Amino acid sequence: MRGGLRISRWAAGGVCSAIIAVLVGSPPAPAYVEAPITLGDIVRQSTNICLMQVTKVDREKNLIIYTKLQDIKGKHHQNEIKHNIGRGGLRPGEWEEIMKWAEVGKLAVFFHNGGASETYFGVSWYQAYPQGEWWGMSHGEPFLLRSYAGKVEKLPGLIAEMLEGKEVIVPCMVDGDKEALHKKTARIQRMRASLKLLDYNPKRDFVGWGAEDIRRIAGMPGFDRYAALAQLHAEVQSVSTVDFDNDGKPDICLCGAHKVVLLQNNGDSFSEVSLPGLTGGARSAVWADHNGDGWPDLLLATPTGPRLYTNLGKGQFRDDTRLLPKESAYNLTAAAWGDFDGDGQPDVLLANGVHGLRLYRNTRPADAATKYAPPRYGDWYAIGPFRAPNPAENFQTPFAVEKDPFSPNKEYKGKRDIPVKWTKKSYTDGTVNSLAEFGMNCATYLYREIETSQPLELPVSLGSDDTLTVWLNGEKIVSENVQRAAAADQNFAVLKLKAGKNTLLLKICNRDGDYAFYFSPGEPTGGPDPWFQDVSKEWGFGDDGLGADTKGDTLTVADFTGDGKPDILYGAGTGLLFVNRGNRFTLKTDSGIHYKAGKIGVAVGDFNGDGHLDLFVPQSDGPCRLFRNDGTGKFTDVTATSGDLAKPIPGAVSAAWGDFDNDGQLDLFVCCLRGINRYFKNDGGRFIDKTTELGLQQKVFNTRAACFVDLNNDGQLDLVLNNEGQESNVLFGVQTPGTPKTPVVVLLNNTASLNGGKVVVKDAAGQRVACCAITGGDSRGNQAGLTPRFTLAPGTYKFEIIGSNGKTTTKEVTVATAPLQVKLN
Amino acid sequence: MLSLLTRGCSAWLGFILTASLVAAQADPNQQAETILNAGRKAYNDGNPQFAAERFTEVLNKFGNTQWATDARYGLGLALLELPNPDYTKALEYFTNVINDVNFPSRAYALYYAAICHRGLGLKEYAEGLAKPQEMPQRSQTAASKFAEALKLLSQSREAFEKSNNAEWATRVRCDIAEMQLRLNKPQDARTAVEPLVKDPQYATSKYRPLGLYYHGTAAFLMNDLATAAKSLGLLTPYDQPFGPHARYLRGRIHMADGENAEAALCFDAVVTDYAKQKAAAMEALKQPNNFKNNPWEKTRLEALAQGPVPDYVAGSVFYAASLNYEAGQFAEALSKFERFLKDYATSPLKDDALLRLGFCQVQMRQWDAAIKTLQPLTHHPRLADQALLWLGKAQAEQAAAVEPNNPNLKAQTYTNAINTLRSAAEKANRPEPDAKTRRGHILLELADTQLAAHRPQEAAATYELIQNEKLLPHKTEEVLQRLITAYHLAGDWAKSEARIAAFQKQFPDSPLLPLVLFRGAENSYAKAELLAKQNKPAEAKTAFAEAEKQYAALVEKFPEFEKVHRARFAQAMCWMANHDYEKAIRALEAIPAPNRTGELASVPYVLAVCQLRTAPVKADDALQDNILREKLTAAISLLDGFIAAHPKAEQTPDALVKLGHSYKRLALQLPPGNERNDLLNKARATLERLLREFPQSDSLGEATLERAKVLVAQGDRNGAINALRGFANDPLQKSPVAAFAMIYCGSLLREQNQPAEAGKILQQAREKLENTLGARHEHDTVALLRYHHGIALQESQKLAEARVAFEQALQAAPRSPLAVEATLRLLSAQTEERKQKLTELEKQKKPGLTPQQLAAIDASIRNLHNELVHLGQLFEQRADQYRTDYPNSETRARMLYEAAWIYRTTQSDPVPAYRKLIVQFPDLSLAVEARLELAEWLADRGHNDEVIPLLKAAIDAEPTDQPTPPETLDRIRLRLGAMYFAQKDYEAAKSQFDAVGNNEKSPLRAHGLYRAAECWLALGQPDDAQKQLAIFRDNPAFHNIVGVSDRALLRLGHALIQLKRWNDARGVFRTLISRFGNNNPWAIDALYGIAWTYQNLGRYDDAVNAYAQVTQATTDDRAGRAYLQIGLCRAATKKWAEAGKAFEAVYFGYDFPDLKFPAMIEHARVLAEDKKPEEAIKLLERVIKDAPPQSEWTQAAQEQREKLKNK
Repeated sequence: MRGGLRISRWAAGGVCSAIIAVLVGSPPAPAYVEAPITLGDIVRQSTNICLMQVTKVDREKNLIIYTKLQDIKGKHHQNEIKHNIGRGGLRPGEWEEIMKWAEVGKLAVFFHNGGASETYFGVSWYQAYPQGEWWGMSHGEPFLLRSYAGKVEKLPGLIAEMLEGKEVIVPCMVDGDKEALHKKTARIQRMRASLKLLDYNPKRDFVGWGAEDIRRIAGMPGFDRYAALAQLHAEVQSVSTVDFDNDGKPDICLCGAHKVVLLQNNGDSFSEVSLPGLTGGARSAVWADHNGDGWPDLLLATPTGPRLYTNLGKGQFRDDTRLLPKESAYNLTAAAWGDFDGDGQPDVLLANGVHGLRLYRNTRPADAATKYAPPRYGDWYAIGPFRAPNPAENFQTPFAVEKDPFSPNKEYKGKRDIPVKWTKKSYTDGTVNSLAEFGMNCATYLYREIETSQPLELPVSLGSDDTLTVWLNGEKIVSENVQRAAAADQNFAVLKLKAGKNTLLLKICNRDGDYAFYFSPGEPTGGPDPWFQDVSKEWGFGDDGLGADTKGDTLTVADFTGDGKPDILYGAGTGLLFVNRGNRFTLKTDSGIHYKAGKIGVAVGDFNGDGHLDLFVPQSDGPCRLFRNDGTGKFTDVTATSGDLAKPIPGAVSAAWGDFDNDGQLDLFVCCLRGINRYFKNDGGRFIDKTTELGLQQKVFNTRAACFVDLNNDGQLDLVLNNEGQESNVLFGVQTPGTPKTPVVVLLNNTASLNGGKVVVKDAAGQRVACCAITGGDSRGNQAGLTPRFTLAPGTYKFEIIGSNGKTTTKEVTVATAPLQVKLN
Repeated sequence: MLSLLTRGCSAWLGFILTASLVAAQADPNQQAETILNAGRKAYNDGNPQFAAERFTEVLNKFGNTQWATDARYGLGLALLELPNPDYTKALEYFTNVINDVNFPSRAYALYYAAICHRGLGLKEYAEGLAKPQEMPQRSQTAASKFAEALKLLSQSREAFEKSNNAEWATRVRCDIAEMQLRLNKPQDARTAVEPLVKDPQYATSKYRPLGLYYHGTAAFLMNDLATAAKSLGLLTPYDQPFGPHARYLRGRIHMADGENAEAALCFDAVVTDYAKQKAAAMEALKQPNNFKNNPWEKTRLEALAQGPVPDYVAGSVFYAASLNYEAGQFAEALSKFERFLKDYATSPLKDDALLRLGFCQVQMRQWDAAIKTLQPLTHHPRLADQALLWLGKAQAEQAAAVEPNNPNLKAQTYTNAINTLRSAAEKANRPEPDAKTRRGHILLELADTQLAAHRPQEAAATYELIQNEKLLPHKTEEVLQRLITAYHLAGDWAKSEARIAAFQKQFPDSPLLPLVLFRGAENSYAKAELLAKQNKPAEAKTAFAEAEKQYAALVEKFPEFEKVHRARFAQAMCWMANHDYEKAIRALEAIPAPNRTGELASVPYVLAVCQLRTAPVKADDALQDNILREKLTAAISLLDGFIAAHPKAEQTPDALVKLGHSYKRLALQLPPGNERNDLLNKARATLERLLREFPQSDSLGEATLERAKVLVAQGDRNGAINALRGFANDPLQKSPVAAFAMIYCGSLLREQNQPAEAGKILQQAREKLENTLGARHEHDTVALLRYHHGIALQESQKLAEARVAFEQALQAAPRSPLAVEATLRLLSAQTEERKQKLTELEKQKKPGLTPQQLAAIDASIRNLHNELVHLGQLFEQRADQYRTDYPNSETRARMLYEAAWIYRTTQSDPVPAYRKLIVQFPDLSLAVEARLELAEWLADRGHNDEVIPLLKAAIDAEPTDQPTPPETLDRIRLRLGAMYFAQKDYEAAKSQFDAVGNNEKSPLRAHGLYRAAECWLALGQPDDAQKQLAIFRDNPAFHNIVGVSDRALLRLGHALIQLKRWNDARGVFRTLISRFGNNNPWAIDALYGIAWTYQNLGRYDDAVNAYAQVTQATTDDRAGRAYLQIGLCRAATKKWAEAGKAFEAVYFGYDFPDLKFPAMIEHARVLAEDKKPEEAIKLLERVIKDAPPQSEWTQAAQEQREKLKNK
């Protein structure tokens, strides 16, 4: 490559210089490699930093006029700052993104040094240059998200502290996958920033993953910290918590009709995990281990049909929707898991407004988990440099190593006959890796093995400085004799992988300047045929089956009849209870359940500790209902004798059970729209309204869904609220002082109970002291019991984890006074 | 659906193809058949025109043949296939055919006849659309055509069913359903196609999608949305020609079900699919040959490509936009509504779209655009109230955005908004079921706007109306909370309090409770402010404290409350009102920077004010200096930020003054240099910005005054004086700081030695301002003006006038701290008067006066002394008088000090005054002075016992007002050292002298060094002494220190003599004489020293010469000693006679025992050496006789006499 490495620093040229060079018609601009820049350096380079607010937007001409609110550094001479966004940019959508964001009243932070500027507008960055009194947008700067990617409102305060010589902690995106930066899906990390930390150095400055969104709150006696979560806007559905990355900390899934958000619990923050290919929201988000690999997988009920995401671990998911049968039309209102046939494999239940209730039996192969595992990538090896007698012919010259099978110990004659051997390298996928050590004007070969259990098609993104030749299993699939700087997406190829070991060989030749390559694998396609089988009709559902004549929006799957088989409560009509007869469902006409269905979610829990699953049904325009289960699926409305629950709860839409005060009895949290949420303490089956005692009356959260979970493993339940029209949040519970009982959480990953079933706790005498059922779905897409939790007096107990197939695993646990996690495997 | 017609022809075409094979004869029938077949072929080849001509030919030529019916049927079909189908003629032919009950294709003919009716009906309808005034009639006609069509279709279906043509029967069902839908009979339509939905036999029919579509449409129209959803849902992925409409209906159903996400997807897809279909149609039409066999498809595509956009497409854009709006995506909604209005200007949803566009514009704060959009809808029969409501909102927001410096425009804009909202409320006052709620919402907006327009009483009345009429029962809590606010703002705190009590009772756990309690605290604050205005400081103080408590409780109990920072701000204001600025700072600093916007925008400004208020007035030590700098720097940062963010705010002028002031103060803390100059320039620029940008500001005077101070600091006193002279005239003379400015001007003039001009300026100021100030009860300022006037007069030596001015100052503010100052000044002026007279009298005492005249002068002097003593007493009395009110006043201390000095001047006893001062003000720096002066006074009078403790106390004192000046401290140390030296406590003395001498910065260092050296000498350590004293010889800086350097050199010589460094000593003595001359009091001693060095070196002649100079220069004892030494020198050289003479000169000339007796003894020895023993014995006996009996001289004389006798 000519011109050598260019570091893109906004004030020093970088991208800008490249653009200008193009504009003035000079020879092709030398490519550049974006070097991460820190917030400290941006602040240092800026002579002026000011907070500004959008006051006018001209969408015809794409103009934004800002008013300066505050000089943060220096004094910007104008109160009105005019940006001409135009229709430019380096990539499609750059100006559209800015104009879509631009609304009067929104805030942005403007950095400039007279000759160039950067604007952080709360979504991303863009660069602009002075054009008279206007600043002309040059291009988007998503790469600057590596310096800051937090809330725009917080940036002025952080900069002010930096200017005072203090060190601050800022949320920013992690360097690496440039495409993720462009898409703004890169992982958020917290880094130290100050005017002394000018070079991007995660080893030195990394603080933690996720944005720092947990803050102290005062004035709510029941809670002491608050974490802001994503805002799902309208039509919020549900929230569930499950340890999807298997680190012992429950993670969060917020579900709304417009958005589904997975939040990985980092202990002191949350980071968002993306679901490949998902653009909208869902009506339900429920978890089970569909492929038996021990990890919870996610099923979504989206407007375009069900989406099945297989958990690959480490917060990565693969879209395995193809495993599900296809319907001619979908109007999914709910989804749930349930091992209805008791084979230990979770089946899928969907509420489809077009075709009625749909039941898909899980018929996965026994070896599915291993057979359909994602490809395994071996280490990279490199060998070189090689040089042809005429170096200009390096590309065409087949050096010996090209023809031989990979042999790590074999010696070859390299440049000037110097002996060379394959060497293991630690190149990183998704980044530009330097090959500078091999020198200039030479050829270098790279080798790696990819193993897969079945034939797959693996799309890869490639880049090279300069030439690129790729062989898969000896077959040449890419050959580019080019002169360029390495970057992502310069070449795309689909690797048709055979089952077993595949060999990948890359040859990169350069002339002078930089020497590098880029390799990033995508999501493989292909794989198993659908292994879920539509058995709706056989089990009594389908177009003309049970519940087909009505439309419901909740599916609650749990064993209401106590026979070990999951039953279904369908939120249609006045609540339809379908009893699992082993091979068919029947409507239980004498269930005693009667409520007004529609946009309300029932909550399942054993409030009186008799081992039977009871129901709380919120009603937004009348008294809520508490149904007690006699163990056979026959329910009695006991609202009248339930204490404060008998009083109307205006706006009640859903609820969550949890032993918030650690006294061994399930308390109830009721979510309300346009009113305060309520907390009812369970006092021996009577409920006492303790909303004010917890301080919940202080704020209307407009909560659609909630769940209790001990997010920080401190023995105290926390409360996750999925709110309508405002940010969702976590309220971290304050430890209840003097509680004689000890919280014990059972980790279900790697157990059959993940697919339903229950956990029973027995004392030393073998008497049942507590029980928790794992539902396959409840409320409006919630799912209770994925993190079974008990509060027990110190002593020795036997934990029976009963799988959906009836198989029981027992573990003896000694409970002391410290909160405890019970893990079977 | 026209396109389906062609599909139905296949059977007939099959028939005619078969029939054509049998036509062979050329009889009329055969001819007719031949022509008929030609027509059929042309029809099949997509040439209906040719076909029509052939069929017509058959009818014309062979109308009576067996083929006539076929020809009519064919002609009917061909006429339908023409680019402009002729339904009427076609119908005519089909009708004819239908009558032939045996016609094999009668079922088809029935069908096509129905199609003709439908075509005619649609045509009518199209005409109606083109001419809306004809629409009713056209609709009616169309309906009759559809009814006809329906009839024929029913017959056709029966015929097909009879003939077991199930597919055609199914098709006709669909057409029947279409006609029924067109006839607004959805139930019948639904029934018609119900089998297609439910009966499995239709599952594979190609017409099932169409049936589902009609079924869904019918169910939708019947509001059976669940059924509609199912039927329409089965049409996924909506790729049929009617797919977009079906999807549109699906979207509407999703909307109705509250499934907005799904609905939005549907609407967006409709628009996209329609656009795709249209683009595909346009592309397809580019190949007309493709349609030669399918003119119906061509027509459909042409309609799609060129025809008007169907309503459902427009509807999809509209509803998609509405969903965006509902989801809060205003920008997207706005662009969709704009697109809708542009693309579908004639849509029936146009007005609704316009209304919603207005909503979006209001939400996006595009007030002008919103007003323009909504204005045309204000008389809309259905939408007027909503249009007016949102128009009012836009106007209200527009009013809020008007700059506060344009109050008239603001008020007028608010009035417009209020009037608009009133109109909206009137329009909504209708009997419709939801009108009541709508009116409630409008009234709520009205009340909120009234509040924003500062019309709280009107707002309260509106809120009351909403409550009383129970217009918004679900918002009772909210309305009551706002009512509480309105009453508070209206100043009706009693009603506000009453409503607060009611709220607490009714909604004890309301999330609005903090807002209500906040308003309660605001009520308390307002009451406190009123008390302050009413000049009831004590009650106000209590009230502010009470308000603060309420705010504090709120902050503590509801720390997450939305107005918690506003409460903190109010807390700070309470603390400020009670002058507790540190607490105010704490409260303000608890407000995070990002929250300091809107109504809290002034937090930095107020915080800066507090920082300035808590900044030390003086910075006399490093700590104070540091605090001051920190406070000023903090204030500058805060003010700078505030001004930058709010260049036009109400507080900005004052912020500029304070910023300029802060820069100036910070500058004055710095030593001269660039940094200081830079800060002064900033101060000046800031103040000049105010003068330039806010010429009408109330802060103008303050800025001018501050600028003058800056000019002074920059050395431009004249510039400052000129600027300050502006306060003599309007507008500055009306400034609240005019008096201070004039006082400052006077001070500057006095500093310029122009006290008379200062007096003049201040005289003018008094004349102009005293009445105004008096009217404003600013008596202290009046007193200050008079006081400064007095000072100027005093300095102009107009003592009597000055006295009057001071007396007037006392009258103006008899109990203020200034009164003490004025009293001091008054008495000082009186003292000065007396002293002046005294000086004059002293001058009168000239030689030549008669004793009487002298006596008279002396008497006057005595009288003046008495008067002065009386004034001294008055000083003491006033000091006592003010002791109660101002126990720590430094001025009182000054009075006592002045009294002491008067006493000293008049030779009276100052001791009591000094003691009083020391006792009452032990920690003042003046008391240190007093201790020193008292010590000196006592020492001079031999009262040494008290002196050392006094001086020690003076050294140990740590004055609170200002540190003891180092020079004073050194003076005290020198005095104390001298006292110790006198007591021969040389070590103690030396430690005091060293403290001074070792301090290189001390101006008295030389004294210290010298005196310490004396101590060394006294301690018998001459080497140390000479080391210390050498500086006076060697360091030019110490060569000419009056009263020290010469003595020090002498002492250095002495020390060197003690060390027997004769030549060095002599050099020093010579230096002394050369530097200070022979007239120096120590020159003689130096000469003596020189002589002594010679003597000790045996250079007796040189010694004698030097001694002789001593004897010539003085007659005191030093001459006697010189003679003595001369005698010794002569004796040493055995010049006995000369020696004897020298000794004689001693004991005859100097009656000092230590001189004369040694001289006599030495003379006796010389006489003995000169062989005159008798004379020697005689002389010795004289010594024995005259000298003290036990003295050394007597002893020596006796011993010598005995020796001589023994010889």
